[in-house]
Amino acid sequence: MAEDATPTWEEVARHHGRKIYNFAYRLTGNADDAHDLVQEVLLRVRRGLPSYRPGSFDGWLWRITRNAFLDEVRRRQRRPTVPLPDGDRNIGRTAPPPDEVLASTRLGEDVQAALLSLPYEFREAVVLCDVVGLSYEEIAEAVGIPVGTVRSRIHRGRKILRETLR
Amino acid sequence: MNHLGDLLSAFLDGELAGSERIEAQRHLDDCAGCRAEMLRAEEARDAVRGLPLLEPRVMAPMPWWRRRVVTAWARAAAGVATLALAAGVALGPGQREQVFDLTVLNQQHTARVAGESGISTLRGAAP
Repeated sequence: MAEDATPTWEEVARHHGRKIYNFAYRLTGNADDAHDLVQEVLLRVRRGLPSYRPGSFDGWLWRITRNAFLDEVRRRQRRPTVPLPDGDRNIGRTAPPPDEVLASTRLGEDVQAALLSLPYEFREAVVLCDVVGLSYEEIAEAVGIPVGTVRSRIHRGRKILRETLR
Repeated sequence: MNHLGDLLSAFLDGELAGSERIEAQRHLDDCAGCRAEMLRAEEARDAVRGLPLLEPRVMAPMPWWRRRVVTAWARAAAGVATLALAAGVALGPGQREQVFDLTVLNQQHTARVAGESGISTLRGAAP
């Protein structure tokens, strides 16, 4: 998407919908919550586009996405703070059959579980960097923190992840 | 120079520039500890980057508070054209998995927008 063009919300949905969904899914491990977030973000994008001034579109979009996510989290405080992964996974089984172990590895459920165990600030920085693919500068803009803080959150997040996955 | 610490991931990600990068590289050349820590960070990074990109489950049942809006909208909007978006965007041969199905997403979005006072017109709606 060109930096100097204001996209339509349909373009935002097409080009960023999947990333927004994956951002929310990796932060919560919950497909319904992630789906709701896509809807909420599209609504906010649609409201905000008339006043959007061409510039760093990614910074703008991900600031909206992040704020929508946090608002949603606050609204659902009655839910567990770390939602369980989807029910269609192998929750509760102690020893899945070998073929399912392979499938589980391929789907990255161990990595997902490790992500969910990270403190929110670290999880958010890691997901924006390694799932969404934002630069440190864009993450700083989206989250509203200095780049130095982005560096430290990403590195500390990865350190904890590595320990958890070992 | 002290150990690189939090700078290691920035170095790994190509997020250091100029003298900062040169100094970090110089330190890494001499410090096995920092090299080992960077490798561990790289393993974690690769694990997350290797996660599959998931598709939104477009047929997921809507929560009750959304369903109510949709029902109200459906009653009120009989005959009103909905956005005519194609189901996804064809990106070319071999890229089918990249298609993002907008149909249901769009219907749900339209239903939500109907309840929004700030949005009075639907872009792309048929005349």
